[in-house]
Amino acid sequence: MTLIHLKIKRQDKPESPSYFENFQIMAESGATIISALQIIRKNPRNISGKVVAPVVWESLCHKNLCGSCTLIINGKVRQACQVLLKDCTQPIVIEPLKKFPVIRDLVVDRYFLRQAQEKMTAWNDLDAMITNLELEQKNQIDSEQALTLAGCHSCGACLESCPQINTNSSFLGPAVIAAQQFYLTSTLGQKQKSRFLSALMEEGGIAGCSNAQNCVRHCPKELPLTTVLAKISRETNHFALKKIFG
Amino acid sequence: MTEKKHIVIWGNGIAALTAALRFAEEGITVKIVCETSLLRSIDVLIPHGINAATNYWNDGDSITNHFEESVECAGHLISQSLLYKMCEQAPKIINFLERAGVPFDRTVEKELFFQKTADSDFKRCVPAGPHTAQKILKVLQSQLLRFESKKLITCFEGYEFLRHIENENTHSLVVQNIKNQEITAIPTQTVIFADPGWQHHCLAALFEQGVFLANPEFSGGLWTGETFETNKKGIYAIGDCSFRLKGAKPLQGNYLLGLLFSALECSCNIIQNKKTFVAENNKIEVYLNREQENWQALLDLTGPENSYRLFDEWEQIMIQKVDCPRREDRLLEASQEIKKLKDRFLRVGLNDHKTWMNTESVFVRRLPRLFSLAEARIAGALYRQESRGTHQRKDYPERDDNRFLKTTKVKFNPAGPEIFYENCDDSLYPLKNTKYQKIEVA
Repeated sequence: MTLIHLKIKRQDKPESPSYFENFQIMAESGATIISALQIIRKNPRNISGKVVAPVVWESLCHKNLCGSCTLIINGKVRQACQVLLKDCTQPIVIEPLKKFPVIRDLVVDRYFLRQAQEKMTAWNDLDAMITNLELEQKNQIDSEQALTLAGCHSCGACLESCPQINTNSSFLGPAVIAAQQFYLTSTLGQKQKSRFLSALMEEGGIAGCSNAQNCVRHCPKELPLTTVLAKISRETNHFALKKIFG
Repeated sequence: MTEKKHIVIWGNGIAALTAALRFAEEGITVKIVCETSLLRSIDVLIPHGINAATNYWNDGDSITNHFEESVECAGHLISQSLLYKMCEQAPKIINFLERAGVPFDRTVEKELFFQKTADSDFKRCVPAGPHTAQKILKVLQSQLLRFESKKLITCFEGYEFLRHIENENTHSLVVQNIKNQEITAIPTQTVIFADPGWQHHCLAALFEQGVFLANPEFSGGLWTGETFETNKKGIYAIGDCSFRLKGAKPLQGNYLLGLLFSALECSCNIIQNKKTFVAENNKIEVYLNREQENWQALLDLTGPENSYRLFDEWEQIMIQKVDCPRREDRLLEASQEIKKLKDRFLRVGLNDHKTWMNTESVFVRRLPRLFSLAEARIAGALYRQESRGTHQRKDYPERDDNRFLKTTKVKFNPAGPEIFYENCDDSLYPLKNTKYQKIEVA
């Protein structure tokens, strides 16, 4: 058990100002950030001993599969369930994501990711998917690439680190483009290639990428995002030229 | 408020999404109500792939083999006709997942790569990488967004389940928005529960309102018929909420299959019976006001007990005294300690009195439900004087098929749970005494 000093950014309501609150806890060295937050809520006192409202945060699977607990820890975007206390320099500064609106304390509203997927129509268009179970469609895909791309759990780390995600830009982020690429590789998706590529050429699509390559460095699932972006960009160019010259 | 043809589904996991998509394809409007955001589901943790007896490798596998292995694994305590149907449907279920784009593992010839699991004699399980459930969820979620953009599915995300109201064949879910803490009612005639919630607290809430539980000593779920309808008309439970097919879950690869199959079976039944889905909002104001008052009272609690520490103690009791191997004296001790926790809960206090995204108040409301669920589990384990599957008693180490080849059915009573037994369907694969191996537990 060691003494851990945490500095947590808090905010009571979306419109109220944010402030930092310091906590000191006793924790095992192998504990994660999530465990530290759980210890705090059992005895919610700040460093000066005053009883405060327990910190509100979001977490679910604790195995880097659900993408709920993305936080900024000591200035870096991380999945809080994967960061050990012993690996952090103290005081450990914990902040919510900055590109998304804060709801309370460490919880942010990531509805943008869903909207992006809906805008890009990142899905396979197919009829009677469940109603007719007899329909067969062999998926002649490069299963290894598809598997990596399907690993994306929409945590928002790539959007947080991307310089193109700001109020002046309509770029929808690398995550949704990776999702597009995932469906493009499936056999049914290949038949809908023009729909996918037209969506990618619209506002907020591939043209927004400035090739800063931050996303690939911060992705907790290690998706080959820059490779995908480069490939999509090449394909859309091809598609656009073909459209003009036939 | 009258809305035509709609159905309410509670949950955002694999079973909930599959059922929602089935209704949406039929042109029925679906309302999905769930605790977390649509893109976050705890189902990502489900291990292994999906079983389907296609006999691809010619190793003698067949639907009957799959079925018999599942029955053995369930300790014969499972409805066999339903289970057989599940094994039959399995290859078709894989068909639909594949069409939707789930990247299953492939052989060099680009065929599905059926693999052998540790507890089966046949190569029957097809995974999609290390986290099959996550891949399936991702694909189902994208399909859901497709129907959402067609306005066939509406999502209500971030809601806490408070209670259900039954009134002249109409059900209303009373829910609270976790963000702005508003309490509202969602009226419907048919509601499907597909998410048991954190530590099964939603099941506990329903249990306290008169829905029967079944087999709580083996984790179990709500009691449902073969159509997945509970003892209350119009309330359905699928996936992890229903006790049906849960017995077959320990056979690797059957868990996901059970979720998907129960969703399909239940939704097909509802569609075929051409239920009217029209619901009218009737006198629910009284209940809404009562819930609102309850919540206000909850916010004002200032006792000395911390709810999170009480939960830790509850967890320790469950791990040390109720988890296997079980013993009568330990179970009785546990039931006494749960009673003490219930008394201490009366002195619980909140540190957070704010009215915006107050997760502590949500937690405090869930806690007493866990206690009543624990009591049902302890009672079920006490009465079942035998060892079978995941229920192991040190004082009764043998399986007793004469007395206990039966489903435990539990009815809520504030004084303590009432237990009944119901005969089990073993029409297709009658009992044999072979194969059942006893494992020594230290």
